[in-house]
Amino acid sequence: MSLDLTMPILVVDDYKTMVRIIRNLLKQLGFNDVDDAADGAEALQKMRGREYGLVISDWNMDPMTGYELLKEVRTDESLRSTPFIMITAESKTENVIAAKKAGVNNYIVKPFNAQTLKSKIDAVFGV
Amino acid sequence: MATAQEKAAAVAEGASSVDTMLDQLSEASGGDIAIIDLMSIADHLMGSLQSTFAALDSSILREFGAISRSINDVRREVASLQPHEQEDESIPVAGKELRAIVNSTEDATHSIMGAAENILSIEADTYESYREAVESEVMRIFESCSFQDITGQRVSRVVDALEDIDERVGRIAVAVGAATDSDEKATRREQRDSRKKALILNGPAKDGAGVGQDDIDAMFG
Repeated sequence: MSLDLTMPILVVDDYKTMVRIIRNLLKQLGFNDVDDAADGAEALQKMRGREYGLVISDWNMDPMTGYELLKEVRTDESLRSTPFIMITAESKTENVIAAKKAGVNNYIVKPFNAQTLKSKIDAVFGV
Repeated sequence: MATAQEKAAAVAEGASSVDTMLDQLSEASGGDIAIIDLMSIADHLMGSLQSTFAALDSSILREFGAISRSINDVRREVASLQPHEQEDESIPVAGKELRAIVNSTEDATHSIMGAAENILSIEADTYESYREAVESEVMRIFESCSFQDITGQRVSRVVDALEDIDERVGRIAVAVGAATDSDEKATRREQRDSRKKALILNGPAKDGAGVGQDDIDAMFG
């Protein structure tokens, strides 16, 4: 199975530099259709207006965290099957367990490198 | 004819001082003041002084009561300041976060400078190999720039620690009367702490304290 490099990806993070970093890393991997949102609420709005192939989200954001976004996505019939990767500085076991319970597909702790991002995306899509 | 007590009461009522009282009594008695008249005046004066002393006692008692309550308030606030907690948690947290910020910005700077130096010293036979080498170093620069995100979160924790200290000092100030009471700060802090707990907002872990990527990968199989 190979990745669909044309799938639109939504990057959710309140730090513009992090959005820029992830966007550039994704570009290196061949993904050019990348949108972004500054928090969970904005992301949810965008997801209800467009179908994304993957959501990559931070955890700690205001007013809606990535954790809340994940739970909203998984309870929404139209969004629940969207692959979701958390990229966050939250590295306590309780965070990882909570995210897994809420239905996250994979979890990356910051700081991370391009290779880690690629391997987690590959793992989500069974590549 | 007025009794000695009646004469003394009349004199005392109108007199502003003991001397004036004696003068008026002497005038009323035709120059001779009988001992019994003096004793009646003394008796009357003692009666009025007793009520004055009683009033003073109550007033002093009230003041001491207020002072005692103030001392208890201050004692309570100092106890709630939990100096050991401040010493063991808030202040060390702020210190450790600031040190972590310095370390991570230093690491990122070296990484970025290293990548830049490598780019400057690339020797390649072909354009493709040159481009590949440059892209590899550029990716390293992008990855290094993630320090800004983590630094921002650490700074937030330092601000939280300082706000915690500020709030506790403020409560002491209110207790000693140096400031007026404001529940707003305490309410905001409670709401913030409650949200942090509900949404599991721990922030970046101290060095070595968080779960590594390998352990996380193991959880996801």
